[in-house]
Amino acid sequence: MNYKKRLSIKKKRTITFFLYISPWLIGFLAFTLIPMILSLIYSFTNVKMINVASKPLDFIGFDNYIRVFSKDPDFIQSILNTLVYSFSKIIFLIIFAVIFAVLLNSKLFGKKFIRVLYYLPAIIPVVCSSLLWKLIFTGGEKNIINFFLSYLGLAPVNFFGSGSSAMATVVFIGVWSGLGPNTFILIAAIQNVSKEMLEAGKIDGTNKISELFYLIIPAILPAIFFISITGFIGGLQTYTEIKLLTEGGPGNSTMTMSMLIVSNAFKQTGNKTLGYASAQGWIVFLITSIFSAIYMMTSFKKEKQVSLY
Amino acid sequence: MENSKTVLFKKISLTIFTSLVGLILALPFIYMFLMSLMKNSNSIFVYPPKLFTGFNFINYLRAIQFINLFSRVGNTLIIVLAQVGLGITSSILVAYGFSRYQNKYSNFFFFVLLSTMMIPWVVTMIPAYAEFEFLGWIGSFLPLTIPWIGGSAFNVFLLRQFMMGIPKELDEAAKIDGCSSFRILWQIIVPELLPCIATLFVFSFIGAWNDYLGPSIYLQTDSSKFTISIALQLFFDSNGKADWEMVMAASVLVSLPMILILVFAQKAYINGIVTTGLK
Repeated sequence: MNYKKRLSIKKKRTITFFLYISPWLIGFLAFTLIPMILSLIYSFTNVKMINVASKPLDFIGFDNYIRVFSKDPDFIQSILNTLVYSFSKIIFLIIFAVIFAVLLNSKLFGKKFIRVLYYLPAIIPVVCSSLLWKLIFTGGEKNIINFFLSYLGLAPVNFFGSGSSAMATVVFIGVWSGLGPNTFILIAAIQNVSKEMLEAGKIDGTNKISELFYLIIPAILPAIFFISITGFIGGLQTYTEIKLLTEGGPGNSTMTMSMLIVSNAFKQTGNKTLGYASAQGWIVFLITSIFSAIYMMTSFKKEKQVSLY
Repeated sequence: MENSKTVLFKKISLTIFTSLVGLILALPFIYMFLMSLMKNSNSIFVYPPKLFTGFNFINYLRAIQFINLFSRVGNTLIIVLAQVGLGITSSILVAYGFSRYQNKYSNFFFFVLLSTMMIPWVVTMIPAYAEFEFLGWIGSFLPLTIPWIGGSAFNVFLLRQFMMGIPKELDEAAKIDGCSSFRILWQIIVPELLPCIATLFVFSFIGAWNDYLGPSIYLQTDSSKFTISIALQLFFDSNGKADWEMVMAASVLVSLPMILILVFAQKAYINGIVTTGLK
């Protein structure tokens, strides 16, 4: 009797659980799982977006996947571009975020106002900042940046003229817009560094520089790792900024994986259409999964450590 | 005495230095504002460059008329409010389920929920377009609003984290007093969550207002439904030419609400950034 009653309470709780999470379950099924299944099916067909709802599917086996690796140098190029972009952006982001975090963590007048300046690039609509940078760098060698460079005695640069300078420019803009949030994550991490340790360091005769390299940076390494890996995963999916700045050009030099896939998905002719774009999407999924797996494994380990305390 | 003087000097010089670096970061926006005041595009593209030709606020009026800015703001606000409202309400319900009704299935589903954050958007967004095509939703606001009934994984994660911190004794006591499960959520849990909800509100608002990707994919077919971020493309003709002083004026207007949020809700915003980092 008692056992039965407990069982029914347990059952009731389980039903309540599913009732509360049902909005997410419905959303997940309808807008994540079904699209993913569709994408998997499409990746084995030559379907096009214009007749996806009207024409029956035409299966072509693994053709799309074979073509991705054997007959599509553009896609391989876009994978390399995306890796170069994400990697170089993260390196510079971390260096500057550490420096700015240390600076902004010191005692300042008008901290709140200064913070707004650092945050501004991250909070402005990405369309606005991208168009703004497009205007700043426009006009080949005759723009405001080159005007300042000539003051410093430097030769003018046609920023979007060659592949490597265009890549450097989009990386620069990416670092600029990502600085604020990453800096503040590191500020929080620095504020969690134990005061006792820093005091002990002072007794041992650390100066500002050695304190930074031997005490603060090692202590905030988990946070640095966090912003690197999440930033890198985000970078692998970059679309809007570069789409608006360069459209992938000149040539294919700044084309990212996502940009190429979106443009393929809506193509109406040729053999690189929705079906092919779906196959490419799964390749991107595999690439990002590697880094997501690293991230998830390390963050779960962290949680275990916390629970051991 | 000497010591406090050097401390003050250090504070002043660091303030000046960090403000200068901050100003350099904000320099492009000063340029944006200056260009929005230019007489015309010819004076933007002269070389050596000019930065100021007088206060031509008329550009703002022209820009508002040219892309019909107020109706774009209306479109954007419909989407923003739906995303923020649905996204937060559903996330609260889901997080409540995960934090207070744990059972042998909950860990599995929570893991699935966290994993969805790792799926690249290209994998779901492109086939979702096909799905919306089947449903006849393309060219309407539905693809940009209805999916938010599922909440967002990020919101659920944060809310669940906060709810775990609210002592269960509170709900136990309410339960003994005969409170229903939903009333416990509404009258005991939600009031405790208000700071967290404020953060999510600010975050979702900024995200929805700034979103370019979603509208650019799902609304491209009907220019009367354009949100502000994709309406800026209406300034450009088929050769990519535009009256840049209008583009910049519109950009200033579109950015202004975000700057206001940053100034007035800085605490909620920074809290959000910091909690993301510490997860």
